[in-house]
Amino acid sequence: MLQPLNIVLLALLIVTALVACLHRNLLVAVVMLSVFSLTMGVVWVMLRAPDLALAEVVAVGVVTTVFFVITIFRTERREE
Amino acid sequence: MTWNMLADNINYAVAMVLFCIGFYTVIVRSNLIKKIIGLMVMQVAVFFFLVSVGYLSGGSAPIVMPGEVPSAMVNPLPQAMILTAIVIAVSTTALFLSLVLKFYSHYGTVDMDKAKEDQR
Amino acid sequence: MKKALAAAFVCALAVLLVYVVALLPPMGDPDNPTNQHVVPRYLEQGAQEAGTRNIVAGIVFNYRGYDTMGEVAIFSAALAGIFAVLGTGRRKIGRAILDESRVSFSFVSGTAVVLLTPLVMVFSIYVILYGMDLPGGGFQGGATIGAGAILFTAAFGFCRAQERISHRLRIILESAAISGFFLVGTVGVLGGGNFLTYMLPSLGAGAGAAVRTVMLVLLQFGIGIKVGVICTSILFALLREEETDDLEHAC
Repeated sequence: MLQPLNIVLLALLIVTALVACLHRNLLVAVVMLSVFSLTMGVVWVMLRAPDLALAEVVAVGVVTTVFFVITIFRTERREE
Repeated sequence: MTWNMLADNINYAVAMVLFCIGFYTVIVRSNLIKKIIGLMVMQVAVFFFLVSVGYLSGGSAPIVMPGEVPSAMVNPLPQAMILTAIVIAVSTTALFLSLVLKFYSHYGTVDMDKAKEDQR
Repeated sequence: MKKALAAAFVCALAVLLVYVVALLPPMGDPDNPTNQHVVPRYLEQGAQEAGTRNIVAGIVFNYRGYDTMGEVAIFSAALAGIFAVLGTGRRKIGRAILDESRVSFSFVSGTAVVLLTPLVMVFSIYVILYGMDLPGGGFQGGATIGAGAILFTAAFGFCRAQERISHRLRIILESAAISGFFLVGTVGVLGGGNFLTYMLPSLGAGAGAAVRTVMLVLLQFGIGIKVGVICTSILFALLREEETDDLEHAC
């Protein structure tokens, strides 16, 4: 599984996870979590799992992101 | 262990690295929302690892199309387990977020260290 | 100091895990131990035994039906926990994020959402219904229903959305969905089989398969509607800020 597309996807996964976990602005972190989930959706399709791609993109990428944004709106936006 | 073995199993290695990134976030950051984000990254890393174990080179998606050989399909059993696990991840994240809202209304901050200081 | 120690520990853990994982059998090998024992039987006989062409849906609903029942129970328990922490919303809503004092009707987004929301709902019903033969299924369609409700709430405000999807409607739908799941499981017991078999063994092959398809469709609808209703309930619980019995300032 060492083809260029897989390498690019895996590198994108690691980069978005790092930004989501280490950035101080919580809204940026949550948006990066959503990008992480969308990249994961593409990786599921590469692994021949279309059910998981649908479930991940809708449940984690849309619904959980909206819950996070509502919570951040009601609490603090920066992590300090 | 040679680099060839690692190159074959690079999906597993990336899953472990993601797990460690999430783990670091959970134990080091004191902001509760960061902890939830780290938890979510850990969960997705474990799902990634388990489904990649079941991959078959040159396999196709586990949907029976007319005229297809069933034994050339990817392993469907981890996919079924991880489908349930995604639901559980979403529900625990939602519950954790509601607890964070309650924490904020009680302590006025989402940061655990600040809440502990203010209490003293 | 503590951060450096934690970073060192996590790096050591990462090196150890990557080393261990590289020693596993190579990925994609047909002779892997994970591809033996049970999986050839699922792949070859799954379509006939489970009655679905989507083998993952067959495993989730037929071979591992108890796990799906447990997952539904976990989702309901999470909703119960959220209601316990944030309040049920049975009384009138005094204040909420996105209520009418803070959001004003925007023509562009209102028109777009009016056109989009029926399409999203129809698409989610399509995903639920075709979950047996194409990628999809109960949970995916249910989450799409939740996403449609989020879209509607974001454009029209919390109060209008609460009028449309009221508390009583949500309770009726969710209870009906979960009861439907258990009733479908019990039909197998009445026919002489186990819990969650979808065949009445007394019928023949053709009629038995038709009954099984009907039961699977009911099951997927039950799970899909349940997940969608729970997602909208969680959304409303996170949005509302204050409950009141005062009907004048209520939503």
